[in-house]
Amino acid sequence: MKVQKIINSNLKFYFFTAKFMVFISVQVLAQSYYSEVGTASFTSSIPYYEFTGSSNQLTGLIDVSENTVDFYLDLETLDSGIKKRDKDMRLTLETKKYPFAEFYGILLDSIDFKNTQLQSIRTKGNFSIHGVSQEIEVKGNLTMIDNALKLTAEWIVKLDDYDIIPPSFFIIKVDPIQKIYIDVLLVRQ
Amino acid sequence: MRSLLFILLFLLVFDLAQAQMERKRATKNVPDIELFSSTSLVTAQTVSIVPEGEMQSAISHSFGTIRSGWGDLFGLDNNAAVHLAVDYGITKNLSLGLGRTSVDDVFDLRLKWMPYKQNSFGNKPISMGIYFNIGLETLEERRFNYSFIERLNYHSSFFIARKFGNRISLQLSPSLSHFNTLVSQNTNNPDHTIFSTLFLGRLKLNEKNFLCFETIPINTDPESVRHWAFSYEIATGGHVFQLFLQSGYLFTEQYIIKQTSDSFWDGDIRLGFAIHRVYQMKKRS
Repeated sequence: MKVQKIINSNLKFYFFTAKFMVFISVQVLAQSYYSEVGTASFTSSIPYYEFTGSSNQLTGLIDVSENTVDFYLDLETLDSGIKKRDKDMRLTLETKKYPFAEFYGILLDSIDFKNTQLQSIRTKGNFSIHGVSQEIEVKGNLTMIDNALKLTAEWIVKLDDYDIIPPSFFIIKVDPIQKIYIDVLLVRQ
Repeated sequence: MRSLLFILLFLLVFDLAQAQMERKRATKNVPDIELFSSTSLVTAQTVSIVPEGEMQSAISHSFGTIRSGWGDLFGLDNNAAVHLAVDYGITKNLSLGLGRTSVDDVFDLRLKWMPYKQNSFGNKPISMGIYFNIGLETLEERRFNYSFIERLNYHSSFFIARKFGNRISLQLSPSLSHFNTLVSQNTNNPDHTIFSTLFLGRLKLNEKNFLCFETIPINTDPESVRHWAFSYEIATGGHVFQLFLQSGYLFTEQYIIKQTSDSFWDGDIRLGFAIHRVYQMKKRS
């Protein structure tokens, strides 16, 4: 009989704690903005020719309460319009070994949620691709649209910095500097 | 005990709120396996097809036999047979192409359908498809006044291919070729219709370099001279470069089956090359 009472008591405490934690976590998540259908693209060039590859499966999370920015992209979703080139790109980036390009960092500027005009924000963190991580600072533009944040940003990636060897054939070589562009509508959770 | 439980739950929630998102793969492994680098080896079509919305251009050259030596630079000074071609991927399994061979001014229209492709999931262990080619000889013939129908020739193949492991691809293509008109000095009636079996193979040296072969035994005339070709391929993101040695001279199957009279193994070997280039014609969704 005594044992039974103790168990009931522990169960009540457990359920109370669990409810409390769920409440807290919902509150935390309520201050985050999320998308998994953002667009990420890169522009690359070889002599006399430029091409773009893009993916609309960029996943991103801006957690306002924690001031963090977290984005990642499955590199095998990048489409340059030519399947042979996509295959070449996957080999160059070794996507079987390193499937993601990712950025995780913090917001350097605070977001004005009442301002529906274009806001410029800066973020700093680690960009990782091909198994190499480098600290970068990215400037972006942000617009509040109802319960969502529209974010665009672009930056330059030097392939050498990430141990990526640009594809080449005889004297023709892919430009080792790539422009990255993201465009995403993050919806409030 | 209560404190421990509380700390564990708090850490769990804190972790959910703070940590990076779990990385989830958006794609599974690419299912289709690449058996050959290009849509054709030297002359013979492969099971590879131009992807939907892409266009491939190809230019192929075949020179004289190297037997002639330095005198004509191992055949390079002799008249080259040139084949120009464009192919377009109508759907992911269907392509249409148009080509022209400089010898006899032959235009060829071709259709390839690849409904069954070997994949990495293992439920499709081979690739199968069909190919049809119709040729029109437009060279002005002084001796005969050919009608349009008399100028036509045809070739059809059934493809069966498989990639074995990571390096070796083999293809078998039972084929039927037909010429509406043949010119012969013999009084015997020549064979207008020929059954043959094309054998193709590729050895992958690394991700960009390959060695290939093709040969065409003639089933209806096993004693006839058989076309052989060996090629070295370099594949880049948008190009495939092929350097080859072959006994045949022309670039459509029906012509190389019907008109090859040089024997590779007797030293009647020609140098040749081909360049394939793909272009994006339609934005993929």
